[in-house]
Amino acid sequence: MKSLASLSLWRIIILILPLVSLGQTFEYGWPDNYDKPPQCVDIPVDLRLCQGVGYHQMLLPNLLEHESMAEVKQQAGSWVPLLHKNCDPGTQLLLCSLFAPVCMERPIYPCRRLCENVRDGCSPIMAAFGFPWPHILTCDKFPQDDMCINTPNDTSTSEPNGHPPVCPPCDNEMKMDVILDHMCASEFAIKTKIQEVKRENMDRKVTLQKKKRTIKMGTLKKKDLKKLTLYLKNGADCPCTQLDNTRNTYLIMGRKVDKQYLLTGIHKWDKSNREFKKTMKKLKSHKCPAYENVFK
Amino acid sequence: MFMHLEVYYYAFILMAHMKTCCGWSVNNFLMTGPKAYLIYSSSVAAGAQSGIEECKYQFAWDRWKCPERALQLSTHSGLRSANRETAFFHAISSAGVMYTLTRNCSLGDFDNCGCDDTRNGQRGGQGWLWGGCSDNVGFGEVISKQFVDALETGQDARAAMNLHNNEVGRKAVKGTMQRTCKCHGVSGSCTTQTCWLQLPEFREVGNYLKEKYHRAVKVDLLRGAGNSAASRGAIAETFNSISRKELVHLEDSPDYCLENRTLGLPGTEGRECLRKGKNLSKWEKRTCKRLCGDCGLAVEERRAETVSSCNCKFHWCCAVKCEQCRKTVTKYYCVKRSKRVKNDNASRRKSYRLKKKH
Repeated sequence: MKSLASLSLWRIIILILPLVSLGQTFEYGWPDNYDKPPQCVDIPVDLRLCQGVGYHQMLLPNLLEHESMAEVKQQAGSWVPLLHKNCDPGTQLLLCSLFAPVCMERPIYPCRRLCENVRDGCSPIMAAFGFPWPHILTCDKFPQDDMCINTPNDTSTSEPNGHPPVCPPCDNEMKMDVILDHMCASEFAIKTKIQEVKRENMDRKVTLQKKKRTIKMGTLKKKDLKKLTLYLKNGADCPCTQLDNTRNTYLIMGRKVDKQYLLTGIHKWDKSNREFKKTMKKLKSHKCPAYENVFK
Repeated sequence: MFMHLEVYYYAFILMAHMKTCCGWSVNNFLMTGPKAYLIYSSSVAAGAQSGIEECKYQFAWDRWKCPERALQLSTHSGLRSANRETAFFHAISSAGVMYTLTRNCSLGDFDNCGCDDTRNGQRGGQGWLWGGCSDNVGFGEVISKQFVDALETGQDARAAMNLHNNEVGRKAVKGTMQRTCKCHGVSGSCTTQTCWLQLPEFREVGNYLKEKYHRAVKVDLLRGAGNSAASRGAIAETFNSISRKELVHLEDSPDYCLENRTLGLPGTEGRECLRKGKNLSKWEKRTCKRLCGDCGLAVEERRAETVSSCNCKFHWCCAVKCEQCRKTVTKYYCVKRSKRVKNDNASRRKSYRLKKKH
C-alpha cells in the first residue's frame, strides 16, 4: 500500500518536471493576451484581403486579437471592397500587417506614416459609405522608428495626389468578385428604377420607384421598403452616370446609418452583360461571413 | 537548476501533506485523490512557480527580496514566520495557483471544465452582448482552494493567518478581472460588440497585492495561547472580523538589513541598487538609500561594457537587421563603509583648522 502511494507521488513529480523545462517567456510586446503563443500559419487562399501582399505566412492570433482563422476571415471580408477602390497604394499592406501579420520573433506593426497615408487617402471613401475611420486603425499608436512596415518603394517623399472627384458607390467595377464583396458589405440590395434625383445639402437624394424586387432583405422592413429614399453621401457634385439615366433598371445596394439609408452601390441591371449575369447566378448560393459563427 | 529545486520543494509540500494530514489515509488518496492530483498538480506547481516569480519581481528593490532559502528554511525547520512578508507570499502563491488553473481551463487543458458561458447571448449593456470565452474563475477558485488550503493542517493562529491570506490572494484575482470587448461590425466599426470577462496580466494581481502588503493588518493575540478549544474560538472570532480583502500578520518583521543565517536572511550587503534613470519610479529611485544608506552601508559604483543590438530595422520582406552597439553600463552596489571615509573626515578637519588660523 505505502509503496503504491509513493509510486503515485513520484508520477506526480515526473509529470511536473517537463512542464517547467518547457516554460517559455515572450519578452517582446505581444498583444495583451495570455492565450497560446502566436503560431505561424499559411495565409489561406480564401483570405482574399491578403492575397498577393508579398509574404505567405502569418501569425495567429493576429495583431487585432483575432484568435481563430474564421474570425480573421469574417472581419477581413468587409475590408475587401476598400481594396477595390485603390484609394492608396499602401491599403493592402496596412490592413494585412494587422490582419495577417508577418511571422517574426516579435510583432512588426505598420509604420505610422503608412497608416496616415492610407487614412488620408481612404477615409473620404469610407465616409461615403457611412463608415468612420475605425478605432482599431488609429494611427497614433503605430511606431515611427525603422522597426515597422512601410511600403517597399517608399524611399521618396510622397507628394499629395490631386484626387479627382469620385463617386465611390457609382465607381464600382462590373466584376463578380467586386459586386459580391459589396453585397456582403451592404445591408440590403434591391432591383428597381430611379424615380427622382435631387440635391440636398452636400448629398444627393435618390427617390426610387414603387415597383421593387428584393435581392437581399437584411435589416430592411417591408414598410420601409415601400417609401425607400437613399442618399449619396457627400455626393452632391460627383459624377455618377447611373443617376443621370432614370430609364434603366438598377441593382441598388445600401445600408442604414442612424435614420438615413445610404447608397453603397449601384449597377445597371444588364442581362446582356455576361459578368452581371454570372454574378446574379452566383448570388443565389453565395454566403456572406457572419460573426455569429465565430463564437460557436 | 533552481527551477528543479523549486519543483521538488512543492512536491515536498504535497508529500508532507500526505504524511501529516490526519484526515487523509492511503485508502482515501487512492479512491478520490489520484486522478485529481494527476490532472491538476502540474498546473498547481506552475501556478505556485508564477507566484514566486511575481514575488521576486515585486520585491526586487526591497530589503526583503523574496529569497527562496528563507521560505524553504521556514518550512523545513518548522519555524514558520508569521510576518508581513509571509502574508504576501501566501497570497501571491495562492493567486498564482488560481490564476494558472483558470487560464489553463480556458485554454482547454482540462476535460471537465471550459469557458464560463452562462451569460453568452445576453445583452450586457448599450450596444454590446456577452459572448466569447469568459474565464471560468469559479472553477479556478474551487480547485486552487482545495490544493492550497489543504497544506494548512494546524489549528493555531499561524494556520488561521495563512488560510486568511490565501483567500486574499484568490480575491485579488477576482477583483482584477476585466471586461474585454471585440468589435465585429463591418469595417471595424463597433456597431456590434461582444464582451467577456478576462483575467488580467498576472502583474496586475501582483501590483494589487503589493498595495495590500503595505497596508497589512497586524493581529495581536494573547501570548501563550495554546491549542485549547477556548483559544481556537478566540482565533476564529478574531480572523472572522477582518475583511477578506486585507492581508494579516501576527509578528513584526526582522531587520532585513542584517544577515541572519538562522532565518535564512542574506542582508543587504552586496545587493545591487538603483539611483538614476528616466523610467524609474519614486520607490525605485530611492533604492540605494533604502538598501545601503539606511542600513549603514556605502554605495559603490561599478562600470561594465556591454554589447547589444541597436538601430534595428525591418527589411521587406521579411527580416530584421540590427547593429551591434557597445555601451557602458553603470551599476551600484551596497558595500561596507571603508576606513578611507574616516581619512577623508580627518583631512577635512585639518583643512578646517588651517582656515581658522589664517
